[in-house]
Amino acid sequence: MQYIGLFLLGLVIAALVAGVYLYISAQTVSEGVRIQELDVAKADLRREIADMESQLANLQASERMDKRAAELGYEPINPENVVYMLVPGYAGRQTVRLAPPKVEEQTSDVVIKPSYTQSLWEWFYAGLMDMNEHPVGGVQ
Amino acid sequence: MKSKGLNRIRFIGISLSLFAVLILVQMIRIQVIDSGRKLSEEGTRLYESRTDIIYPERGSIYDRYGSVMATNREVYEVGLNLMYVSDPETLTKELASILELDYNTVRAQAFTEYIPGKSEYVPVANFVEPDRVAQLRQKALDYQDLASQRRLRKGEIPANLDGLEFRPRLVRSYPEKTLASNLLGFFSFRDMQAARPYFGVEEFYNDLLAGTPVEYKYYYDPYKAHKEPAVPPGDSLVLTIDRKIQAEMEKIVDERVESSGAVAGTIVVLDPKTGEILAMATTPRIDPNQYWTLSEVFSDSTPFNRAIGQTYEPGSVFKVVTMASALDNGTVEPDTQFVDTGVFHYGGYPIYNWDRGAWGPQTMLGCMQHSLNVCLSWISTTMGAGPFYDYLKAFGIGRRTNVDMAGEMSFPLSVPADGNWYDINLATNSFGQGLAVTPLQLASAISAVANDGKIMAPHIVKSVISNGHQRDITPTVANAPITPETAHKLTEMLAVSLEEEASDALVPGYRVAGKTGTGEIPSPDGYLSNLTNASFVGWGPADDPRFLVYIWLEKPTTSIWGSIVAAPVFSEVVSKLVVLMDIPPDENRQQLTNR
Repeated sequence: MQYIGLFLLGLVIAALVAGVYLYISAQTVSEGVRIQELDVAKADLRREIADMESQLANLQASERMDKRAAELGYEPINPENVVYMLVPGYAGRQTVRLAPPKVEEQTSDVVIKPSYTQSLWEWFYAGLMDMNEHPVGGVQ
Repeated sequence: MKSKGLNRIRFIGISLSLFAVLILVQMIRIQVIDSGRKLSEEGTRLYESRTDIIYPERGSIYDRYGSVMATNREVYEVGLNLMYVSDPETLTKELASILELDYNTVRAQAFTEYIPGKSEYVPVANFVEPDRVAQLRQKALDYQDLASQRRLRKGEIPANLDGLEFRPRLVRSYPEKTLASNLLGFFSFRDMQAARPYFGVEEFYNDLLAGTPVEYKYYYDPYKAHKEPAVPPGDSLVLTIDRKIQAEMEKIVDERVESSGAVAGTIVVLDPKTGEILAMATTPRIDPNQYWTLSEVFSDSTPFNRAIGQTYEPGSVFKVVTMASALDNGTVEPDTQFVDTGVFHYGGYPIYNWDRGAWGPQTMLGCMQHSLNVCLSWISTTMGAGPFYDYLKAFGIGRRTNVDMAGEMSFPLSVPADGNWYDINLATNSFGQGLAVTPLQLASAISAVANDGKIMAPHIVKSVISNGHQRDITPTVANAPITPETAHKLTEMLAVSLEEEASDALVPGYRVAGKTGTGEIPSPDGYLSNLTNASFVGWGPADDPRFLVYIWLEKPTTSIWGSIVAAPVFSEVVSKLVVLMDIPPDENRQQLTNR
């Protein structure tokens, strides 16, 4: 009976360890899936931004702006109708300064440490192989 | 009895334990034996990861004030994942209707049998606009709603659009359509396998615009989730051109080509102080959004951008270079006297004036004003071949300007010692015959006269935007063929020349300098008598040049003379330029400067 009891105790402990392991694994997997989904969402957003910039450019295209100006009653001006005035400090129209957002810096590729992804069996097996190659005490 | 029950329990316990041990042994065995290891490796190879190449977004192109000239927009490939297609009839109906496709073709695609590994996905349409995709998505949702509201019979498949897949991608877009298309070039975005740029800025700066693709391993196993590498977009470019000036120049060149009956026209506007190209308008043009229409608009021999790709004998506009060389060399001064007898014999050939007339005593100003071939021939031959051709080379004649656009051509300058150079060339080259230049080459050369003797290297890109930083291109001096004094003298001569001729090139309120040109066109039978290349080059304001304009009308039919068809174009161009560039009339400007 004592042996059966000890055996059952071992089984319970193993089940607890397995349960903890499974719980952590499940969390890791769901975060990994979330990362993959976010990567896809990021790519989608980048495309959407590019497309919106293109739509904005279309709305501001020269031909369209001229048409809108004409509809609002504006006319191209002739040199003889222009009035010039000196504005102190005004340096004239400047070339555009454009600065797109900086690209995020590249951090380390793998965000999850190996110890979080290795299964118990992989750890046990790797340890066995390691002991085989480098036995404790003496050369084979 | 008791021991019999106990034995049974022991037997079950031992059996189960043995079974568990067998499982354990098998688990170890399949991981250790060769075939097990190979299976594991094969599985890893096929299902662990895939290698993707991420292509960066192509950089945008802006005009100098930030208007978008080229960018990217989203389109979709619409296809069918055959594994999930359950209602091909509805798919056929909706796809054919919304995407305006041939019904029978779509039907054949929708009814394609699903064969794993061989027939899994069928593309139906490419480059589909987002609004059409939105319609399809809405239709799919509508069908889903309809199905959920109905009670279905056993085995009935409700109408649906299952299996539809939308694969987005970015393609090149040119919001301004034909505007500046000659200098932008285009990107062949429809060629899925080998899309590449052609002509202009797109081709020349492709390495910067395209960016650097990044290869990375995508793991299917979420355990090995990798952060996708950051892929910076391709560099963007800010051009030197002003969209408004470009639009006006294109409008003018189109109108003037039509009104003069010319084959084609070109207008180049440069800032002589920096070499920046403010506008470059040529004909014909295409809409790069429909680049596949190229062959319908351009014949085989027509260059995409005449301003840099077409050489021609410029005629009398070239006299500016000859006179600049002679003044700088000391061969003549503005008031040097020459007696024009109407003919000049050199190299065994006679040289005549444009009207076959004799103009009598002339100063150098008079020679330029009346565009006398006889006088200019005398100047170049007096200068001598050595100095004359040295100056031409210093002006960049016969060489590319190395402007930053693809498609630039050049015609080599024949000089003494070349097999195809003859003595008569020394005389005829002086008035722009027997040599060939592109409009940009000659505009760039003459810009030395407008810029204190210095030629600034012509360029179309003002700055490059890369990784969050905008880097300006520094204007560089290409050469300094003449002194500032020579430049000022000649500018004054050419300003007076226009004023005394009451030229159609004059602009009220602004003092400008310039020269007309009527170049004969060579043919296998000699020069054509009824067709010419009419040109005009001018700059202003004369005391502080802010622009240099080069105009070329190819084979005008209403009149062959540059003074009649090209000079008025200059006046119209400058009238627009002074407003768009905020250049007050000379009197106002000088008053403002003196304050």
